[in-house]
Formats: sequence, structure tokens, C-alpha cells
Amino acid sequence: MIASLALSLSMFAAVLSPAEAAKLCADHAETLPAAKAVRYLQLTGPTKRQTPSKSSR
Amino acid sequence: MNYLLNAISRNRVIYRVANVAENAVLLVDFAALSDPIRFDDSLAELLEAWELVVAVDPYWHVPVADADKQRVAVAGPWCSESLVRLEKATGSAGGVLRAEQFLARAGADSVFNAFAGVPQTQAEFLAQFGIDDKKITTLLGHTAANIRSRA
Repeated sequence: MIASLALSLSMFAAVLSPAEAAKLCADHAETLPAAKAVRYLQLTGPTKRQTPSKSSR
Repeated sequence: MNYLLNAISRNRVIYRVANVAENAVLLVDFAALSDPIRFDDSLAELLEAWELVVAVDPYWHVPVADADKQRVAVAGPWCSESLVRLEKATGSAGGVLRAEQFLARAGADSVFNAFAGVPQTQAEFLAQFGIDDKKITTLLGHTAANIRSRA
């Protein structure tokens, strides 16, 4: 149970808040020579493929 | 995401999104999705369709009741400084969206048609291929008359 909860928390701990994502995108867009056609999409799931531990199965 | 983007693409070259910041953010270059023959118009249509999704975005924007309907949403106070910088760079009031929201909105109904450049009427659709809708109706009338006269 605790391991399952820890896994869930670890999966979403890396998700950026809207403010963090906006700052990241603004910083990145300012480095591009032609950013007028560029748009960003934030992923909100786990950032890396994770295998559940044996205790959480 | 790649499937949807290639479905709305007006370019024959297969497109793949680029990762920014270790898979936390994806970058979509609509210039690569635009029709190379009518590039400017095609790009403008795609970016206009993007704004349809931005208008209902709840994560970075708050809706406003603008009498002139020039703006339907403004940057939320929790991220306004970054969004202003992003708007200066990209020219869009909503340069960033949630991926799942984009998938849900851009993959459905009228927004998908706006992205894919699907005409709104049958006559507009046929006109793309140089077919005159009214002329077909006239010809069908002649055919029907001929069948009746034989009987």
C-alpha cells in the first residue's frame, strides 16, 4: 500500500506546474531565431517509463 | 501526438515532435506542418486553429468577456510574466497548452476540421477539385429527364 502510494507520488513529482512550464517555454522560445511558428505542449504524465515494484503489484 | 499532428499536417513529410526539457514539454513547429505551396496561408490557418484551443484553456488563462471579442482569454496571474515573454517570442497569447487537452480538442469535430483545413460546406469541398456543385445539379436534372422520356 505504502509502496504503491510512493510510486504514484514519484510518478507525478516531476510534473511541472503551469507557472514552471510557462517559464521553461518562454526561456526556450527566446533562444529560437524563428519562434513565430512554434508552440509548446506540456506532458503531465510520468516523464520516464517506470516499472512497478514487486511490492506494488 | 505524432499521429494527430501528421493527420492535421498539410505537408507530405512525416513530422515528429521534438522533446524539450527531458520529455516534460514537447515542441511543435507548425511551419513544418504547413503546405509548402501556399505556406503563409497554410501556416496562418494552423495557428488560427491553435487559438481555438487556447480560447478554452484553463491552465494558463482566465476567460474574459471582451465586448469587441478581440480577446476571449488573458494570461492567468500565476504565470502572466512568463506568458507575456512567450507571447513576444511566439506571437500567440497561448504558446503553451497541456498535451492531453490539445489531443482532446484538436482531435475532435470542428477544431480538427480547422486544423486539417477541411472545408465547411460540400460546395467548398468540391471546389477544391475544380468541380462546380451547381453544374452537377443541373446535369443530374438532365439525366433524370432523359430516363423519364425513355419510359
